Amino acid sequence: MINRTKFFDFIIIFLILLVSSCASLDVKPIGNQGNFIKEPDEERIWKRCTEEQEIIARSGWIYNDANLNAYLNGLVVKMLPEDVKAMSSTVKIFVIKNPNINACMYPNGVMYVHTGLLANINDEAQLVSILGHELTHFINRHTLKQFRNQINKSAFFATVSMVATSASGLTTHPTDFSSLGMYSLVSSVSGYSREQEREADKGGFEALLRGGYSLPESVKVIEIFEEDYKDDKNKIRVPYAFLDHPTNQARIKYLKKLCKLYEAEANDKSRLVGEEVYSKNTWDLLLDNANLDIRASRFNSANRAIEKYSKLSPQNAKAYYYLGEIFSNSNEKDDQTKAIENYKKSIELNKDFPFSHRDLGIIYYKNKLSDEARSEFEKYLTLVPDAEDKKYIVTYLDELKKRKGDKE
Amino acid sequence: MLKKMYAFLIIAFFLVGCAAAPIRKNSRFDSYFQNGEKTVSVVPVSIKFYKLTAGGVPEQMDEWDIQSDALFKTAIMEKLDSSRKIKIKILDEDTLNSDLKTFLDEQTGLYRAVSQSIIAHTYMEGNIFPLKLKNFDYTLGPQLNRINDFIPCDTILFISGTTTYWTGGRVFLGVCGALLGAATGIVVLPGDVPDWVSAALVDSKTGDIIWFRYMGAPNCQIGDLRDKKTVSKTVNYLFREVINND
Amino acid sequence: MKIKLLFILSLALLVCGCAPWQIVQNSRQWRYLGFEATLPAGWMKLNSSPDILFLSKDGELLQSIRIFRYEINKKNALPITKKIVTDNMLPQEISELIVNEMSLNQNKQKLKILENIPIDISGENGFKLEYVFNTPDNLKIKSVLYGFKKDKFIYLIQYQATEQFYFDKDVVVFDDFIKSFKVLR
Repeated sequence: MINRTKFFDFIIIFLILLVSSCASLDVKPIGNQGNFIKEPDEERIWKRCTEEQEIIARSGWIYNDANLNAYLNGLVVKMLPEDVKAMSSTVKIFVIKNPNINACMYPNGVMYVHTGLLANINDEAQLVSILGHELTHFINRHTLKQFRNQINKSAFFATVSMVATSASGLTTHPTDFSSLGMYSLVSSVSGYSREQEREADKGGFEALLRGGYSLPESVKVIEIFEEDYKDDKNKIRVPYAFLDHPTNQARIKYLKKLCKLYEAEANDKSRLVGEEVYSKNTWDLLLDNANLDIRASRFNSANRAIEKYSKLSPQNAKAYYYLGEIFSNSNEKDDQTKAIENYKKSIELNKDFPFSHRDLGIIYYKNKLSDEARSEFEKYLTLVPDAEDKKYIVTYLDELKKRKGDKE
Repeated sequence: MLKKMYAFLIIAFFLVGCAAAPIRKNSRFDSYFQNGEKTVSVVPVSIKFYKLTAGGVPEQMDEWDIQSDALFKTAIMEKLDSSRKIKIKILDEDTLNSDLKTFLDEQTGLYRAVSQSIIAHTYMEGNIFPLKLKNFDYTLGPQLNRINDFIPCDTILFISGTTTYWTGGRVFLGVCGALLGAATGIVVLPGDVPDWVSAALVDSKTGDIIWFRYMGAPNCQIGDLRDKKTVSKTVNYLFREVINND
Repeated sequence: MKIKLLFILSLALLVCGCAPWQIVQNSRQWRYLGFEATLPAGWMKLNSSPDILFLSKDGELLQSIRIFRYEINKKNALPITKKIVTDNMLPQEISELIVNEMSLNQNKQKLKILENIPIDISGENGFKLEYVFNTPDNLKIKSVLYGFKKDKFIYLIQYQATEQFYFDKDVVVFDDFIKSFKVLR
C-alpha cells in the first residue's frame, strides 16, 4: 500500500525541480554586442515574424501613403541610438488601416502603427515618444525574453495545476493549444511584463530627450490613450492571466516622475513639439480614419478627428458629410435632425458632393418625405451615373413613384 | 498496485504502430497505372512541426519542416521511383517565379482543405458522408492543370500534416500523470493534440484525387518524422498499395 | 486545429448517440422558422442548433449552404462593430453593416465585394451580397449571401465555397435552393 501523503510530497518536489529547466532570460540588448547574432529560438521567432508579415502585406490592411511612410521611416532612423544605427535597415514602419489606438513592434524590427493612433495624437514629439517606446521592445529583445518566460511560467502552472487537480479528484486536461501562432499566443495571453513596459516607457522618454523634443508630450500621449479608453465602449479585454500590466495612470505617474528628474529640460519651452510638421504629414489620414471610426462605431473618436481636420480646413464638404454619418449611425434621439443639418451643410459647401445627396435622400425616404427623397436620389445618380449602389437607388425611386401613384 | 502503474505507463506511453487506416481511391485508381509509366511531381511537403513544452506552449520548428521535407523526398525517390509504374520528379521551388509560387501555395492550401474534408468525412465515425465514401470523387479541380506549364507531369503527389513533439518536461509530466493516476485512481494528462499526415496522388489534368491515405488519430501515432528510418517506414506504410501495385 | 475539433465532436456525439450529420435522401421540403425550402438530394444536413440550417456535400471547408437568423434590436448583434440591426433599417443599410463587420474581421483577408444589389426573396425586400476573401491559410473563398427582414428577425441565406472549383460546381444547386425558398404566411 503506498503512503499517499509521502508519495504526493515526493512527486511535487520532484516535478518542480525537474520541470523548472528554465530557458535563460539573460539576454543582452541589440547594440551591446558588436555584430548582432540571433539565438536559435530567436532565429525561429524572426522567421515566424516574416511569415506573419507576408500575410499582413497581402491582406489589404496596409494604408498606402508614400509621403506618410517616408516621414515615419525617416524619423525612426534618425531616432535610433548610436549603438543600434547599424540595424537601421532592419527597422521598418508600416501603417495599418485600423481605427483602434495601437502600435506593435515585431522582434525582427518591423513596426505596425494603426491609423487610429496617428489620427489621435497631435504632434511629432508624441509620435517620437511612441516610436521610442516600441523601438525599446525591439532593442532590448523583450519578445524573446517574454517567450522564454512564458514557457517557464506555463510549465510551472501546468505542474501545479496537474497536481492540484489530482488532489481534488477531478479529471482534466489542464492545458491545450490556444493558438498555433507564436505571436498570437504570447501577445494575447501575456503582453509584455510591467518591467518591460516601464523600460519601454523610459526608452520613449529618452528618445525625446536625445532628439531635443518636449518632454511633457510623453505624458500627454498616455492621457490621450486614457481618454480613448474611457470613451470607447468596444474595448478588447486582454486576459492577463499570468502577468500584471501597468495601467495608464501608473504610466502617467512614472513619466511625470521622469519629467521631474529632468526638470530643466521638461520646463524648456524651446524644445521641439512639431505640431505643424506632424499635421502636414498626417493630414489626409484624419478623414480616412474618421471613416473607419464610424464603421467601427467609434463615434467620439471620429468626431475628434473631424474637429481637428476642420480647424485647418473649416469649410470642407467631406468633413460635414462624415459628421452627418456619425449622427445617422448613432441612433440617439434627435440625431436624425442633426444628420440632416450636416448633410445639408455639406451640400451647401459643395453641391456636387454625391454621398451627402444620397444619404439625405435615404433619411427622407425612410420618413416618407417622397418629393425631397426623389430630388436627392436623382441628383445623386446625375452626379454618379455608374454608382455601385445604383440598383438600390433605382428601387427607391420606383417605390417613390408607386407611392405617388397610390396617392393619386 | 505496481501492476496498475505499469498498465498506465504502457497504455499512455507505449502505443506504437497503426491500426490499418484504409486508403481512399477514385474509381480510376485500379487502371490508372496500367497504361504505361506515370510521371509524378512531388510538390514541397507541407508538414507543420510543433514542439510542445510542459506548459503546452507550441513552437513551430521550421528547421524540422525543412529536414523532414528532404527526408520524405529521398524516401519517395528510393521507394516510388524504383517502381516500374512511376517516374518521380521533385519540384524545386527555387526555380519558380513569385506568380507560380503563389499558384503552388494556393494549390497546397486547397489540398489541405480537401484532405481535412476527406479525413473528417470518410474516416471519422459519426461524421461520415456515405456518398463521398462510396463514390470517392474529391478533386482540386482542372485549374490544377496550370502546373503542367512549369513541370509537365501526369500526377502530382501532395503530402501534408501536422505533428507535435513533447519536450522532456512534458513527457515527464505525462509519466507523473500516469503515476498519480495509479496512486489516486484519477487520470490527469498534460493535454494532447492529434497528429496527422495525409498523402494523395492527384491527376494533374483533372485535379481528381486518384488515391489518398491518412495516418493519425484515432488509429495511429505518427513517429518522429525527423528521423530517416521513421520517414522511410512512413513512406512504406503510406504508399504500400502503390508500391505493391507493381 | 479543425481536425482536432471534428475529432472531439465525433467522439462526443458518438457517446451521446447522436449522429451530427444526416443525408438528405430525396429532395424534400423542409419547414422551419417560418419558411420552407427544397433540400438538395444527396447533401448532408448538420443536426445542430434549431436556429441554423447547415448543408454540405463535400465537407464544410469546401462548400456549404446555410440559413441562420439574428434578432433585430438585440444588443450587440454584431460581434466586432457591436452595431445593432434596427427595425427601420433598409436592406441596403443592413448589407453595408455586414460588409463593415466583415472588413474588420482579420480572418477575412483581401475582402472584395463583387456585388451588392437589392433582390426580392419570396416577396420580401432583401439584398444579395457576393464577395471573395482569403483565409489566413491563403485559401480563396467565395460567398453569396441573401438577406431580408421579417418580423423580429434578419434571415440570412448563404452559399460559401472555395473559389477554385467548388463554388462553380454547386452554385446551380444553391440557385435552385433559393428559388424554392418561401416565406410562409
